[in-house]
Amino acid sequence: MVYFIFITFFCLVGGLAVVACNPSPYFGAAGLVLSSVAACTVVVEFGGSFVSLILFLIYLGGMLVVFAYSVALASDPFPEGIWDMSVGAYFTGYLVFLVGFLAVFGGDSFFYNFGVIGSEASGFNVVRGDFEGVSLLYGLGGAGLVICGWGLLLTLFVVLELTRGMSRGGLRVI
Amino acid sequence: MNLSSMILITMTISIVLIIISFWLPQLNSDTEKLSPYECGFDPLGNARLPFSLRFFLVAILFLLFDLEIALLLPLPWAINLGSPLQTSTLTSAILVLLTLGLVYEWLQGGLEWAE
Amino acid sequence: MTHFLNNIINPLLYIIPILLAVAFLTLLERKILGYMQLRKGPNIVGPQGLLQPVADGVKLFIKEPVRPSTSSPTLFIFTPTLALFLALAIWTPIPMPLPLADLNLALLFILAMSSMAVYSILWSGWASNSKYALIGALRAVAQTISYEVTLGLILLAVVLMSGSFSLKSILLAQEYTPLLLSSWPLMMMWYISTLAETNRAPFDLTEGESELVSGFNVEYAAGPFALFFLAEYANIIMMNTLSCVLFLSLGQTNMQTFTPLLMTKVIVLTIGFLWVRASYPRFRYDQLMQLLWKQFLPLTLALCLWHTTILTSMFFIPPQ
Repeated sequence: MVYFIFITFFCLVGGLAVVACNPSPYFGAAGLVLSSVAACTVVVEFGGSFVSLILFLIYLGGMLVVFAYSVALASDPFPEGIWDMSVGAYFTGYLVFLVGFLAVFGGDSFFYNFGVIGSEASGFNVVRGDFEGVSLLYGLGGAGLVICGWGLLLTLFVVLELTRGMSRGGLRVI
Repeated sequence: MNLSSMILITMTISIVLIIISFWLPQLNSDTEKLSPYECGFDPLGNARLPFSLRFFLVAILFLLFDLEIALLLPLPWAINLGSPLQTSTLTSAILVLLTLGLVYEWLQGGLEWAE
Repeated sequence: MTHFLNNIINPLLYIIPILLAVAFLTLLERKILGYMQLRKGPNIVGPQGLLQPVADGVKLFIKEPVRPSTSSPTLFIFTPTLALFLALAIWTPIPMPLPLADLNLALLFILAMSSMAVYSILWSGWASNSKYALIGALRAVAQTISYEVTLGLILLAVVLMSGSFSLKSILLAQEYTPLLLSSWPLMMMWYISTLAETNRAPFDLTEGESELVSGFNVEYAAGPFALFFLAEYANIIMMNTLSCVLFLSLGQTNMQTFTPLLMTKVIVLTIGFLWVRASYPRFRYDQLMQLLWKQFLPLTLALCLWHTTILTSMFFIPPQ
């Protein structure tokens, strides 16, 4: 299990490095997807299965899909992949920086205070506190729920206003 | 543990299959074979073309409804809470907000695919 | 040793039958389509064409794969792998009747995995850098994500009646009455949505042979194409298994007959998919979107509210 956690952290850092090293937005989206999958897995391994699956479903299955989708709609004649000169240089630079940083400041004591250590259990298959907590959204946290719903309604309103001219303007459906 | 071993094994199987599919057959490629497919002639223009805004609008609408569904997901636990009246009121409120959004969008013509 | 058996042999003994079932599903599809069009279908290889899937598999894996010169090579090779990986990993929590991993958020896990499958379609279309592929991928993604909304709402309504996201509790909830009887409108919408979610006819606008040649996988040949194909059919069987578990499961007393019964029901539903493909013409794209956003979505919203309030008002609340 420790190796598994290690591999997911590796993917997380690698994906973030891909995002940071400035490729064309398309590969950036791919890196973001990789790192968020890894991040969700890390959250599962530390015991937050409901939160992690919701993030997986909404962030990865919703927001990033829309992001990747809108990027695919954009025209980009020569996308810069990770193997291109400038991007590859950044990528290597970031990795070297990370390894160097760990070599200088690393060690147990540095990371000791960061992790969520000692939740009840890890994995998907134990009855967990976070379900009970999240159900309070329909009890004590009702106001927050209504505010969220209202916010989403407003967003819908804004999106429809932004695309209002569509049936008349140059962006008409063909 | 079973979940992670299942994930690792399926990952291994698919990687092995893709490696086999590039390693087993003999590759014998030329420019004609490797050019993108477009009805027999050379491709005209750039394939990564700007596209209809309608598809983008569908994506945004999906995102909003998906977020609202995320708000509804704790319901199976929430209907066991102490005050059923409050739970059902809140559920109805969220669903009514969703429906209002849908109705508004429908009236504004956001759902008409083709005029 | 037991550790090894549990962790390696069990998943393998689960995956290999799935892949075999996929292979024979392709044969079944071709046979049924053949007989529905008054021809024989494949009947040369082996008795009655029974070895046809083997021949197909061998052919696909020794044929030359093509990597178009203009494509983005990494994503181009990565996406078929991702598609097959997701299509197999999604089977983990399905109860047979004991699941390989008994997740208590199994339905959320399945939804999450199937929403990841969108990436393999989108990236394969984009990475092949061909007009047909990109248009096919964009259509497929718009369709899949739209139908995901109703799938989520229907699942929520079902889960409200069983009290937990785990598939075992759904089986338990149907011990005396299959949910089909109590919520048949949901089942009807669910079945149609799974047709659309797996991009099957009559919702196969992503393929659209007449205008898009083959959709997002035009540029794929041989092995990578086979991976997409396996993933698509594994997804079909998975979706039908899930429909059977959600709506059609009967009494669960006998562990030994559970899996054969479940698979019989799955075969019936899958033949339904094939029958639909043989009988109906393809939808138009605006009709597809209209069916979802104007008909299914309002109906599922109303039914979701109905399922919440009826449970609370009639004291039908399931235990946790």
